[in-house]
Parts: sequence; structure tokens; C-alpha cells
Amino acid sequence: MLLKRLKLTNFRNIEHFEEDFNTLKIIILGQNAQGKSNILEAVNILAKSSSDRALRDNELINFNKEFALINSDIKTSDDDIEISLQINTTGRRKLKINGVSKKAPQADLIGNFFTVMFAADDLYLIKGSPSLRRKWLDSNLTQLSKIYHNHFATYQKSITQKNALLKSAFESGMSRKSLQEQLSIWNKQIIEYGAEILLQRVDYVNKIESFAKQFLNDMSSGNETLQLNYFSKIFSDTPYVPDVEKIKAMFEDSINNSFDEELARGQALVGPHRDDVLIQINDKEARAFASQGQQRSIILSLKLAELKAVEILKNEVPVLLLDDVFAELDESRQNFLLHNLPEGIQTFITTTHISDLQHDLLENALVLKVEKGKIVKKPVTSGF
Amino acid sequence: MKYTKPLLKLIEEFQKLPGVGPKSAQRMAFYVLNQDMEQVEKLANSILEAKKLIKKCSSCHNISANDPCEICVSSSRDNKTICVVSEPKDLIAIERTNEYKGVYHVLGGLISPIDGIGPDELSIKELLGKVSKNNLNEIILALDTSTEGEATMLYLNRILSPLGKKITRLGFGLPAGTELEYADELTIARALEGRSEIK
Ligand SMILES: [Zn+2]
Repeated sequence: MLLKRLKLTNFRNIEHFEEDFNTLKIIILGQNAQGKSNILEAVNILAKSSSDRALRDNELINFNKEFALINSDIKTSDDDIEISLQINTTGRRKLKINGVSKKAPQADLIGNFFTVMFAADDLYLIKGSPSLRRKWLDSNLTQLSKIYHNHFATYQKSITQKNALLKSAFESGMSRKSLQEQLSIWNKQIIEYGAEILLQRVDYVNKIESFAKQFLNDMSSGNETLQLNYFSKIFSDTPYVPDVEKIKAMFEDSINNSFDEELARGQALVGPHRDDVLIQINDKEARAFASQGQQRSIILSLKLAELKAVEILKNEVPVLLLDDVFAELDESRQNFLLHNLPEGIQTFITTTHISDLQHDLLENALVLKVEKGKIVKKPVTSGF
Repeated sequence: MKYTKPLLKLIEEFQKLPGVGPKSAQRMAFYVLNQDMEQVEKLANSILEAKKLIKKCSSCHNISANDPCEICVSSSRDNKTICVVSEPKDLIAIERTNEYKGVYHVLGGLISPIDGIGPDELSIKELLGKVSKNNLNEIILALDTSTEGEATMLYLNRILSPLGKKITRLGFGLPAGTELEYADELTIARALEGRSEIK
């Protein structure tokens, strides 16, 4: 699929940007904090609805403006879609698809457009906290499944409410019976939706593992073996079975067993919001043992696997967003990435120095230069 | 340039209204300033009068100029069926369908610990009293299908079901996450028709 046109209005520091993309390669040049990543972020939001870089919609809106607008023309394998997303300071979004207003701006956005985002920060995925790996799973599953998005949103809300209840129970000295009565209404929803989330996450991790394993094997000439395992406290006593009713029963046991601890700590301690993905390389935990080079190879394999998952599950080649990653990848890894991309893939690349990019990347590329949120076209030959 | 004090005060007050941002508040304030005195008095008086005259019905907790309200005293309403809603605006949404002939009970919100709203902050005790005293045929839970709406329905079902009355919830037609207020009449009418018993 292709992004044929993008228009941004008041999106972060970009007051106005409009460009037709008639190429497969778009290179966005700029110093740090000039706004080049913002363009990629806007494109990513069209696929995943939310941004890893923003906690709240307000952060996406240019200072002192009431709303930000992302307009786009997208070409899929069998359709043309026009998406217009308005992000408001009030927190309520407006979405138009092919000119028609949609009732559920979050959910209706999903499933029209797919991206794979590879940013320099993704290198923390291996050694960083479990929340980074959960975010990685959630944003990818969100674009693949509207149902996942809905389950996840409801789950998160129930967890927030449960945490608030536990905290107030702790402060107000609510009776145990009354607390249990009120907890049960949130736990019921947490179990209901959490079980579905678990099922989809485990399935996705298994798919990614099988693809990424192959990529890492190829990259390392058979010297490195990758393993991914979904980790949840819920399965600490009984092994995982892909049966939603059984998962619900195990989840419920797990929550009941944690009641005292949850009350003492004032927060929900069991469920998908506390889970993790264990990454192993050559049977050793990557988090503790992977070298710098191995971490880069693992990430690259995971990103190529993400891409393949979209291709297989959605029958579309996603748009690839490479945010400042070339400076982090040596020549052999750059080559591996470029040689394993599907034909016809559209790639947006941000970089501070055009010299970080290989020559074949610049062939037929559109080069844009960003300075303080202003974007100008640049002839491709300059900068060498 | 800074606003002169009375104007600033007016903008601040408008900004407290739901859904009004700083820009709109400023527009509204300038609109008021540009009206003649008569028009502004009309606006101010209607706000004061609404606030003074409208009270809560002591029976169903709906807002009305009369206590008990028009619905509670009407002889054409079936008072053996109670429809439980969160806010008066949801009651109005259901009334618009012209399909429902029973009476109401307005909870005054939904259970939401982050907003400091527990069962005690809602008129749940009053509902419980009504249900145990009266010989009811049916209690319809007509709440939003949001997380908080679902949680409140679960809670109500839990405390009402020992009383052995028929408890139903709105049926198909209402997708998850729907706020009743925004559903159209036909959807609500269908959801009323297709309501199902909570087991
Ligand atoms: Zn009344």
C-alpha cells in the first residue's frame, strides 16, 4: 500500500505541510528537534490510532491551536481511501473516511492503513522495562485488529477504575465485604477482556517468533537462534492453553489469590498490563546477555517479522517508517534490511546526515528538508 | 494586551461549561458584550429561573418543575415497570422514542472510582427501597454500554437480584461503548424491544 498524499495542519511544530508522494522512497532530512520525526509520527497515527511518543492527544496539537489535522490519500491493493483525522484539544477526535464522518473515530480509523515503525528508540526494546515490550505488542495488535483495540481500551479503563477503587479503599477504610462487592464488577470486565487480549498477544508473539527466528538465522549465517515467549503470572502454575474459557478461569484464580497483595499495594497486580515478552538468544536471556550487536540484529529481525505479519495477515505491504535508525545500523545490517524488504514497499526515512544513507537509497527518492517545522523540497544530488 | 477584569471573569465562567475551550469562551463573552441589555437580561434571567424553579423529583430523581414529576403522577404510566437510567438526559432520550410507558429511576451518575463515585454517591439505596416495597413486574437497566455503565449494571444486578424481581437490560442495537444520549430514537426503541433478562 502507498501513502499518496499527506497534509498536516498544526501537527506538533508543523503548522502546514502538504506533499504528494509519487515515489517509493521519501527521505526527510533535518537536525534534531526540527520536526522530521513528527511527519513519521502523523503517518503512524493513521495506522495505529495512538502514538508511542504522546501520552495525550493535546501533545500532538501545535501550541495555542484548538486542533491538529492529518489529511491523507492512501492507495491499497484494491482501493483508494481518503482519511481525514482531526485531533482536538477537547479530547474528542473527528474522523472522515472518503468524506463520510465516522461515529467511532478511534475504532473506525483502524484497519485502513498499515505501518511498521522502526525508530532509534526501539533499540531499548531488548534491555528496557517490560512496559516497552507491552507497548510494542499493543500498537502492532491495534492496527491488525479493531477488536483488539476495543478490548484493550475497555481493559485499560477497568484497570484504571480498579486501581482508583483499591486506593480509595485503602484511604477510606472501606469494609472488606463492600470492597469485594465493588471490586468484583471491575474484575469481571478485566477477566472478560483481559483473557481475549492474552489470547491475541500469545498468538501474535508466536507468529513474530517464527518469522524473526528465520531472519536472525539468515543474518547470522545460522549462528544465532532467537526465542520469544509470552510471560504472564497467570500461567505460573498451569501452562497456557489457547482456550478462552480456561484462561478466564486461571485469570480469576490468579486475581483471587492476589487480593491481599493488591489491597496492600493499592493496585491491580495480575493481568496483561503486567505481562512481558521474554526474548532469548542462543538459550540465554537477551535482556541480560545480548551484546550491542546482537541487540541490533534482534530488533532488525523483529521489525522484518512485523512487516511480514502485516503482509500475511492483511494481504498488504505496509508502509515502512525508519526514524533515525541508519546511524545505528552498520553496513551489513543496513544491507540485510534493504535486501529483505518486499518489492514495492514505500519507505519514509528520517536522518540528520544524508551521508548515513547508502547510495541506492537515494535513487529516485524524494528528499525533504525540515527546519523549525518548515519543510522544503531538496534536489537529491545536493548534500554529497 | 490583557482583558479588563469583568471580561476576564466572564470568559472564565464560560470556560467552566462542558465542552467549552478558551477560544469558544472568548467568542461567547464577546457575543454577550455585543448584545443589547434586554437580550443579556433575558439570558441571565433564564439561567437564574431554571436554577430556581427546577428541582429533583423526590420519587424518581428526575429534574422537573414539579415534585413529584409529571411522569411519576401520570395515571397513564405503568408504575410496575421501572427503567433505571444514569442521568436525566438519558430519560429524555428514551421518552423521545414514545415506546416506553413505565416509570423511571435516575441514578445521578455511574459508578466510577476515578471520579470518586461509589454506590453511596448514587441513588441506589432509594432504588433498593422502591424495589423491595413495591410489587414490581420488571426493572430495566438502561445504562450506557461503557466500562462504567457495564460495571454499574453488574453492581445493580448483584444487589437487586436477591429480591427476586425480573431484571432486564437493553438489547441488541446498542454497540459496546454507546452513550445513550447519542443513540438515535430508532436504536433506543429497538434496544428496548430486544431487552433481555440478566441471569
Ligand atoms: Zn418522578
